[in-house]
Amino acid sequence: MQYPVYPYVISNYDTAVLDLRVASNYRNLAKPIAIQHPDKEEKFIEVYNALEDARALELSRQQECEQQQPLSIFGHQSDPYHFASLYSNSGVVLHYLVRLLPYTRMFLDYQDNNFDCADRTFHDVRTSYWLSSFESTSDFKEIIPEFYYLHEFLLNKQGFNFGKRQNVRENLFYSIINLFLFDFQSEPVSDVVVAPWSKRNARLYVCGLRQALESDYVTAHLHQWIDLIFGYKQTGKSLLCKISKDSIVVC
Amino acid sequence: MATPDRLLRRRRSHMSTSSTSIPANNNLQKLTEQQREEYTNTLDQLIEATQKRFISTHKSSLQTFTNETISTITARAMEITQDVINLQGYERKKFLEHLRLTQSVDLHTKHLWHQLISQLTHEYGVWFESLSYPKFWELDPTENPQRERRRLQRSYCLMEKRFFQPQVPEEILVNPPLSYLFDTRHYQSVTLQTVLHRNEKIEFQCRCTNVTPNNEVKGELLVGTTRIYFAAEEQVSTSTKTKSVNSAMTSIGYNHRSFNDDSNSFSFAIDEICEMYKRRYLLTDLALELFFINGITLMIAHGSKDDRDHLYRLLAKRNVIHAKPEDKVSEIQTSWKQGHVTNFDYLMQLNKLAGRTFLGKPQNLFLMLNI
Repeated sequence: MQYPVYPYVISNYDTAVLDLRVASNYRNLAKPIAIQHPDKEEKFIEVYNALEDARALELSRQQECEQQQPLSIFGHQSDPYHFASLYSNSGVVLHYLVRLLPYTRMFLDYQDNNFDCADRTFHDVRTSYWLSSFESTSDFKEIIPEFYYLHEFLLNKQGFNFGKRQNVRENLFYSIINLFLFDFQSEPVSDVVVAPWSKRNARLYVCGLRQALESDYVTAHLHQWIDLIFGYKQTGKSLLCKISKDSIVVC
Repeated sequence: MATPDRLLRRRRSHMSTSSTSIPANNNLQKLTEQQREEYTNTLDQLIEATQKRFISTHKSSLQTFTNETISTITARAMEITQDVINLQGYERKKFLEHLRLTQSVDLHTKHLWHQLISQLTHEYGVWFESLSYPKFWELDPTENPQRERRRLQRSYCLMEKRFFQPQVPEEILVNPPLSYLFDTRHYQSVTLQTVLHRNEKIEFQCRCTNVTPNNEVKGELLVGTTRIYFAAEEQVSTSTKTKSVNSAMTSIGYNHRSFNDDSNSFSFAIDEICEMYKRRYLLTDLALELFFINGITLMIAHGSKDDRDHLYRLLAKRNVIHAKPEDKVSEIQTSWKQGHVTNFDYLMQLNKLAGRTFLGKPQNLFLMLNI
């Protein structure tokens, strides 16, 4: 499913007030969501180089062996890549829209008739942004257009039972305590927790995002993101992602 | 036949009297005898010939008469058969017409009844009955001019109890008021009945699949002169889960959404199409996405690329959708640069032109990564 894709715009999910005139509140639209932090970029380049080296090594070894052994499909046969995942796919769409019928039903079909485990369910916009932009090495989701006009998908209006999250701090010690102390400190997943600058109100949050999307900063920088997603930088020969020397390319 | 015999006899008797009256010598008598014999012979022959001729003419005349009679009879018989067939055909046609008319009138009446009932038993209506009304909200697929889908509509959820928080009451399916008026089993689509009734000329016909995010419906696409009809024949869904939900929906009877059993069939006017794009379906270039002025979008996947292209050409001929995607890109780009279009709309247009759609069913990620 090629669902419409929209950029993350705001990077600030912590303060009580959001100033749309301050550039630091925005994500860097010139770079993919996965490398919003410079050190992450280095890491991906490292991975890429490692893959490239491995491939070169494999090729040389292959020449030595005169192709006696066929390469495995999942070996180093593929070209080196930066991101092992995509900025959008149907799993992502269903991940975000899990609170909204009929997508809930589709999510269940997709997930073998079970909700995902509570910690992995979409529950906090801050966490989602953090995962996509920094924490995770396999999660590079951009967002879907619903973030800019439909607040209902952030609310658990129908009362679905998404289970309980283990803890905010992912700590083995706390998990064990939870087991014994009857859900001590475990949080049920219900409505999506939105940023404090929207007073934890989904509707205000959606309005805020829309306003941010139409702000001067985004208008000035949006073309860079468009180039990344739709534009000329999308020149990889497969769906895996590539980097050139000075610009980051996603496809 | 009797006449020549009598004549002969009279002649013979006359001759015999004349011979007895004249006393003559033996020679003469012999000669006379001979002559008489000759004469009798010739006369006999003559009579025979005449008789034969007479019989043959009689026979031939009889023959021609018979032939004529036969042909007339055959012709008349054929005419009569023709007439009878015509009469029967007329009767049959009249009967069928009558059936069709009563059926369509019947359906129309049912439709009106349904409309009336659903208006009066609506949530904000006079005779609202909360027990039989769906309690869940579902996203309405209608898009607004910005291509946003914001509207929610009431729907049944029909999911197991374990998916809900304990305080959520269980969904009870109660037949809505006056549902006994509707015999759901023999319900046919209103739109299709209208096609049949109007006898619209069908110019192009092909098999296709109507793709929605949670369902796929196979059917026949009929392109008439002004409208296009989709006649669903069965529901093919990717999972048994959705299928059971659908069948449950229809078995409840009519609800706000499916006012007839055959709710998967629909029709639309060709003038209502405002945009049309070729799309990929399951990674093959087989589908067509149609945008309507009323905010509905449709994704139709065809069996072959030829069918799709044929339909595309046919629709392009009828409707003024000439703009090529490349032109559209530059057009939307300039209007964005000039500030006529918001960032949101610009991104939406780009998504649309890039072939990204709200429709289409989820595909396996593994499949996508292995292209």
